[in-house]
Amino acid sequence: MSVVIEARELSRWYGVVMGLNNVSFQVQPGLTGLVGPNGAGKSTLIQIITGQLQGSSGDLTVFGQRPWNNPALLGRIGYCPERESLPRDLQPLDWLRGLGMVSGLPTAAVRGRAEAMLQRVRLGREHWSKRMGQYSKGMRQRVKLAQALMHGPDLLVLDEPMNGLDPMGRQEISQILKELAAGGTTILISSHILAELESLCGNIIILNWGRILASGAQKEIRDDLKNWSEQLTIRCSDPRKLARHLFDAGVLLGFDLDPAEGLVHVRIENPEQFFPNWTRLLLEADIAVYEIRSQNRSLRRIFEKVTS
Amino acid sequence: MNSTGSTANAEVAGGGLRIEPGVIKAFRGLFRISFKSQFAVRRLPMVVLLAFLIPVLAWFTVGTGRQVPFFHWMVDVYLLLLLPLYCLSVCGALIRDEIQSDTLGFLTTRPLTRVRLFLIQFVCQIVLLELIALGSAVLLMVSGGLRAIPDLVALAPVFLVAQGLGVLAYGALSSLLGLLTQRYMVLGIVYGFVVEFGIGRIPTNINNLSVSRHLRTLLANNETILDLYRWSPEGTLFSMAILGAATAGFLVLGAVVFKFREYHASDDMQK
Repeated sequence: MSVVIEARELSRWYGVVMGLNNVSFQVQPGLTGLVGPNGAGKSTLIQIITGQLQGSSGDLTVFGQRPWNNPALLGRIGYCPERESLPRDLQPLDWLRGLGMVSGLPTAAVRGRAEAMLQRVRLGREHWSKRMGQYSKGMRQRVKLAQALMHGPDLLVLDEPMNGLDPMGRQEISQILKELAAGGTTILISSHILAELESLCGNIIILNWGRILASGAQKEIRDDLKNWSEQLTIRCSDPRKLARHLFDAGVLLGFDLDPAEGLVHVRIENPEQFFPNWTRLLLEADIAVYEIRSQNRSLRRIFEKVTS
Repeated sequence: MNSTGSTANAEVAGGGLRIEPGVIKAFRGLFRISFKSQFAVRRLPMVVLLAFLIPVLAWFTVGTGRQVPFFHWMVDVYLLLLLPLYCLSVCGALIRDEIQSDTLGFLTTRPLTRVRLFLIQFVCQIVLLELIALGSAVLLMVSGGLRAIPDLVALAPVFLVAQGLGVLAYGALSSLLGLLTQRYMVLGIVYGFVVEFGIGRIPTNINNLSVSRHLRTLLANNETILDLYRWSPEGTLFSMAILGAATAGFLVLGAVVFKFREYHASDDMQK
C-alpha cells in the first residue's frame, strides 16, 4: 500500500522546548486518527504536514515531497485548523469563493463549488447570509471543513474538527469523512474525542510529550495491549484478605486498597495465565465478592494506558 | 486531484473541476476577501471617519480664503502625519492580523508561494488604501473649495502624486514592520520620530533616508508650497526614484522575511 505521509526521525524545537521528539511513522491511505493530550505535539505535527512549520531535524514527506514552500503539493492538501477563528466580517460564500480562487478553481465555477461545499457540510442555507462573526462554534467548524474541501484535496488534515459540534453534527461530519475516505481521500484527523476516532479511524497514532507512543492499526494496538498488565476492581467483604491471597499466589504486579468502599484495585501480571485460575483463587480466599469491574480495551483505555 | 471515487466523493473532491492556480486568480480571490473585510458594515464608520475627519476639521477651523492654515492642514497634518499613521495601522496589520487571529493557515496552506502570497496581499491592501486616500484628498480639496482657498487646483496634481507615492512607500514599510513584530505601531512611531522627524530634517545627504523628505521635494514643485515652506524642488526625479526604490526594497525585505520566518499560533511565536 502506498505511503501518503512519512516521517523519519522528525524533531521540532521551539527554542529549548521540544515540540516533537524524533518521531517516525507512516500514514497510509484511509482514515488515520492522531490522539494525544494537550501539548502532545499534535498541532506541531499537523503544521509541519501542511507546510506551515519546518522540522528542526529529520524529515517528513507528503506524497514523497517536503511540504514547506511547496505550492504544488499544498494544492493536494486540505487543512482545517483547530481554532475557530474565521474572518468575522465575511459571509461564508464570499470567503469560500475567495479561497477557492486562490486555490486555482475556475472563476466561473467557484460560486457553485462554494455552495456545494456548504451544502455538503450541512450548513443551512438560512445561515449563508450571516457574517461568520455571528456563527456558533459548530457552524464555524462546518465552514472550516467546507474551505478545506473546496479544491478537492487528496489529503485532508483536520485538527480537532469535531469541537463544538452537537452529537448529530458529529455524526454528520463523521459520515462525510467516511464517504471521502471511501472515495480515495486520505484523512488525518486529530481529536480528543476518542470514542469517535475509535469508530472512525482504522489507524491510530498516539502522541504524548512529542513522542509517538503507539501507531498502527487499532487491532494491532489492541493485540499489543494483551501483553500489558490488566487492572480489575473488586468489591468484596474483606479487600485486605483478598489482596494478600492474590499477592501470595504470585499473580499480581501490585494492588491498591480502598477499605472504606470495600474495594481493591489489582494489577495482574499475566492476564493469559491469570483468568483461567481466577475462580479457584477467589474460592480459596474464602470471602464474599459483590462486584468485579474490568477495564475494557477501548481506545480510551489504550490512550490512558500509554499516556499515563 | 482524485480521479476515482464514489459519487459522493466526486462531488466533494473536485467534481471534474480543473484546478489551475495562478497569480491573477489568486489576486482576484484575495482582493474579494480584502475588499469585503475592509468595507464591512462594522468597519465602514471608521473608514468614513478617516476620510471625512481632516476635511471637516479643516473646513471648521480655517476661515474663508485663508490659504496658509489650510495648506498646513493638508500637508503637515494630513499628508505627513495622519496618512503615514493610517498606512501603518492598515498595512502593518496585513499579515499580522491573520497571525493574531490565527487565520494565516487558511492562506499559507494554499497552492501559492509565500512570496507571491505576501505581494498579492500587499497589492490588494494598497489598492484599497490608495482609493481611500484619494477619496480623502478629494474631500479635502472640496472642503478647501468651499472655503474659497486659492491655488488648490494647481496643487492637486502634485499633491496626489506625492500622496500616491507616499502611500506606496509607507505601506510597504508598514507591511515589513508588521511582519517583524506584533508591536509594529510602536516601532513605526519610533521610526517616525527618529527617521522622519529627526534624520529627515538634517540638512545633509543623510536626510535621503527619510520618505517625508522626498515627499517635501515633490510638493515643492508647487509654487505656493515653495513660497510657504521654502522646500527645494531640486532632484524631483531622484526623489520619485528613491520612493519607488524604497517601496521595492521594503517589499523585497518583507517577502524574504515572510518566506523564511515561521509564524505559529502560540503566543511565543507571535513576538
